[in-house]
Amino acid sequence: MIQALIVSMLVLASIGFLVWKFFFRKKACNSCAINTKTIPE
Amino acid sequence: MKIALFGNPNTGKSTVFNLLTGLRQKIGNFPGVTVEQKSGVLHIKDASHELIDVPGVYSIYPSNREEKVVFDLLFNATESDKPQLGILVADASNLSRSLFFFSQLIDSGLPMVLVINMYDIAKKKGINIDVTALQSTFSQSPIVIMNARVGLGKERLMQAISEQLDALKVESTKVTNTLKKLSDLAGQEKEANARNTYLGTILNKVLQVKEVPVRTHPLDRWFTHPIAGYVIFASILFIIFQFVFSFAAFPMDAIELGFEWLTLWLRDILPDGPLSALICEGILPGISGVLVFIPQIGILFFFIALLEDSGYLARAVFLMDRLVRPFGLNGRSVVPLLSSMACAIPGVMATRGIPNYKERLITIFVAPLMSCSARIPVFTLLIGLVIPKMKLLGFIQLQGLVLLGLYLLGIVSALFIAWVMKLMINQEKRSYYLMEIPEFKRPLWRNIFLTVFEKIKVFTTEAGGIILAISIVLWALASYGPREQRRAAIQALKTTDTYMQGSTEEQDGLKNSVLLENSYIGIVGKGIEPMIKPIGYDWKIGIALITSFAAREVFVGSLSTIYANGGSDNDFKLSSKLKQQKNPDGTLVFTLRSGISLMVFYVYAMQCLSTLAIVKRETKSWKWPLLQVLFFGLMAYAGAWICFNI
Repeated sequence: MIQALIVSMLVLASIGFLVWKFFFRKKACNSCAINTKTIPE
Repeated sequence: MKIALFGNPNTGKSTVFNLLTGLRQKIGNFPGVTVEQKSGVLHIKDASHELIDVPGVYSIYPSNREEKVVFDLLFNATESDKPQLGILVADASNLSRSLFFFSQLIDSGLPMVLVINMYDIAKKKGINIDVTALQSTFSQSPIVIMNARVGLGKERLMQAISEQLDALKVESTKVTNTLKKLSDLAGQEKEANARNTYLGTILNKVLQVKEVPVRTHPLDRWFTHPIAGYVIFASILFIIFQFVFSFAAFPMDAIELGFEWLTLWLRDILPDGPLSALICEGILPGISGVLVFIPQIGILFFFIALLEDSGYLARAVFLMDRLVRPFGLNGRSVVPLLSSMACAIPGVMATRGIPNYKERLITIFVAPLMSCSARIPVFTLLIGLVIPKMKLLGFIQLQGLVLLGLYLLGIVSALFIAWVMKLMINQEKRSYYLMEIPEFKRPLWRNIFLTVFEKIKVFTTEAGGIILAISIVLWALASYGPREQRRAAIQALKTTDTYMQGSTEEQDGLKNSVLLENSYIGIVGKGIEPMIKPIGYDWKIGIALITSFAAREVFVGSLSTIYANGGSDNDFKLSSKLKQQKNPDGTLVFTLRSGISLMVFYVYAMQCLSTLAIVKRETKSWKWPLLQVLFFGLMAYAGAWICFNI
């Protein structure tokens, strides 16, 4: 039961992390960490 | 306070930046490396100041995009963004050019500190600078002699910055007070003439140049030779790719063995249940499948950093300039395209230095075809899987040769598409690229190892974070599914001859495989299978292809997680697990044809969402990124189909 709870939380946290990565940091390259927000327009 | 770091390209500005802030800004030995405006914290006495590294330019006339950044920072920035102090890093061997920019900066009203860098090289060239005379001319701006590469002069510079921060003294050359309005060429020319006349009298006083015969480095005769130069360049690339495979084998095996041991150990100590399954079948295979490529990435970047730091890469840029011109690419396109081999994003950003819009557009369009570092794990996994470990002529590793071939395929395709675009887009004028070939330098091992360390760190933290998250989600989708459907599938399996005649281990393998096919991910995968079957992929590869839109290397982690779920539990090594995978008709999934088809797919497919966002931003339209998705997607599919079917 506890294991199932931990797993569910980990899965939810991973989904949350991916959503954050793509919708809130979507302009940064996921492979090399270049954050294009720091590049002047 | 805000302090801006200015300088001409290639004067060691980024080295000074790193020295002052302790940051590891990428240092290039050719212009155009600083595309991002980076900032770091500079601690002086007990106060912290923000140090901004500004792109390298020659003047503050806003005639190209990099100069516009500097112009806007000085004249159009809001009070909170404006720097209160400027530091100009000058190359001692080209003092006149640096003083031109420096004198413009002091005329903009900014308190300044002048750093004369690389004085040791200037002295070897017979150049002597009378610093006392120069200081009396620019009496309000402290002047510091430095050799930033070896950290010499750091304390003096900190002292000078501190003094200038306390006083914030400004001065003026009185050449002009119209810098802010110099947007037209005629005005700029007039201002430049007046400034050069003013600087001429100063330089006469402070510069003594002994006639030292200028000799081209003997190596340059070969490195930049119209024929030998290309042969040497190709040989260097060839040797690097050979090393990537031969040197990395031992550490890669060690990492795989380590993860195997860890998985077995955790299986022993953790109680059976979903958490243990998630860790041993989801997280660990996903992470190990990617971490195993660290040695190869490290070796590749070690050699690239070595070439860059020694000054060879600048010669390669010079050679490439000649090569790309017939294809409609400007010589200025070479730096962006070379940058794209690390990542297409800085490559696309670096096209800002190309003044001709159409040439810039062509470069942006073809930049994603240069194989970026995210493709390395995908290529090396597939090469290890389908290309035999054999030597040609007794010393050429076939696997290394194929990797070189994949890079060349990207380059040749980029040149071909550029040439087609050149024919389609009518260019009324061509621009030319002037570059300064730097001296050969003894590589600084610290710089090289920092670059490699930084690359590996970013690979494990950035891509690793996404891979970890995707592995967890994929594991959940692969472990659960519609209960009734799974039960019915298992019942059906148990009635088959293969199941009944199999050993216990084989029966477990078959059960796992059926459960996976009837999991949520299996149902989605089966849905897309008809689309990818013609190019030789099964539904599991299809899922990995979709997840690699997050970052290309996720492909490897995804395959690892998906295959850890189905099949037997006793094989930990991803490559041997993949080698055994079979289609329902009994044929192998990973054959030479399907492997090459996948590699070609990855050479062309426009899978990087971040690059698309940047292309949209740089071209200010969705037209070009959409064209890239469609066109490169079509090329990838057609190329993969040809490789699989012919």
